[in-house]
Amino acid sequence: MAGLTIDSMVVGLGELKYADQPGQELTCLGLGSCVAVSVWDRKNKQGAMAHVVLPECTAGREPTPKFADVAVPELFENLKKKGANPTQLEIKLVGGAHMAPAAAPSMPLMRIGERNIEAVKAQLKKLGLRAIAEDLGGNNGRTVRLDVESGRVTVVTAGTEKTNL
Amino acid sequence: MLQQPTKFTNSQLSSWDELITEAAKNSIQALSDMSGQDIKSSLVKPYKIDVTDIPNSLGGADKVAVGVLLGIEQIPSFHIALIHSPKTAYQVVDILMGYESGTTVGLGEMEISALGEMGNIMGGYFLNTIGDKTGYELKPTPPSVRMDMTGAILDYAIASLMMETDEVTMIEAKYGTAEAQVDGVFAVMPSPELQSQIITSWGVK
Amino acid sequence: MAKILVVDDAAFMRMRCSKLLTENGHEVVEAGTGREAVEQYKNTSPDAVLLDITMPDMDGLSALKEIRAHDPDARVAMVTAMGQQSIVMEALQAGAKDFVVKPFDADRVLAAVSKLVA
Repeated sequence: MAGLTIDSMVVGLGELKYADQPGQELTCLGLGSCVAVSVWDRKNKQGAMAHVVLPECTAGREPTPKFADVAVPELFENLKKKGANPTQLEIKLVGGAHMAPAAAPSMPLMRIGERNIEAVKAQLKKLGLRAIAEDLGGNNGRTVRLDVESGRVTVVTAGTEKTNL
Repeated sequence: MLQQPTKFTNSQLSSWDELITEAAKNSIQALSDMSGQDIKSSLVKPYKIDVTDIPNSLGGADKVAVGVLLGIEQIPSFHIALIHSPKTAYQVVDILMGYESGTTVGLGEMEISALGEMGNIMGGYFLNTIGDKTGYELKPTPPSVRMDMTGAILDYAIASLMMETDEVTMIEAKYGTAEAQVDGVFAVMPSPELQSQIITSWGVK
Repeated sequence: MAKILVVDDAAFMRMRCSKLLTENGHEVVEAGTGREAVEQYKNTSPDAVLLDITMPDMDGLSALKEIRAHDPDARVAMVTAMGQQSIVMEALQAGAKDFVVKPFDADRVLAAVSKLVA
């Protein structure tokens, strides 16, 4: 796409965004324990991305897409409304690293990366869906970009060149 | 879990803001003493921020930085973060180790340890001020030092805060010396629940 | 010339303390956690201990209590950033002979050591 400026739409913490124009990309920056759910609809050349922070919406909290159990169902619900067939979507998962300091006091919080991964996968399973690719876990931060035209997903870490997922 | 902190009067909240401002100043002074340099800070007044905006406020979620992080031994938590660009982190190490400027070019075990100790001392002084003024004892965790994207470095603190609230009162101090052009950010993000407990226990009106 | 056990989880601090003490004629053994401190105390019987508080795998206050339980005559000075009143009291009540607040002055540490081994 030489000459075209990429319109980079940053999906911030707890956000869920959709894009369907050529030249657009969806991106999550500096993912640590958070999980990015990248979904691409090849047929309609559209995409969605969620930036999940926590596994589930707990009592008393407003249900927003920072929780896996809100983001995942909402994402697919909305893509369906925009004409997508959920079983034909390319789902890729990135993030969920172990970033807790060694001396962190709380066990569940220490495992927040793994718990986010488990929660996202459980939500996908509930919808009868699964990811076709993933770059999860480890101890490093990642930035992920989804090109809405080509469906290409790239991941970079602090030290590396981008790799295709 | 509390969604909203207990309602406090403006006077109480104002006392809290003054307290954390004093605590942050003490932290900067401790760095000055530790490094033997005249460290100046431009203190930002405590301000309310959406937790989701914290990485942007501290340099940008995908900006590579060296972060020194401390918590406290209880949950709900205080999160204390020192964020520097790698170049600045190396300059800080040179100062702490008494090396000529430009000596440190990477983070090995000793360099990480020096930065961790800086966090330990600055964080410790912050918590000491709170402890001595309010009577509420706060013990820090050992420090954790990471070089990575700023968003990733802060994710643990952010997830911890977001379990409880969408907004915190943060205090942030940018600091540096003219000579070495060291610049860093010292940020303290207390959980609202803990903040409430401390104010209540403190007994200010 | 005394044998001093220097305890701190930061290699940086152990290095600075050791350098200071050996330059002033003392022998140094090191430990990086509270647990290691207790073991080193039992194994090497130092004349005095400089003990940090904030450490993983047993903090300094717990280590202090264990060392004093093993040896009621143990000569221990806390060297820590944790200078809150309540913590100073707890350390002194648990038998610490001195409390040096970081960032420390070299002379202050040397004076503390001299007092401990006197």
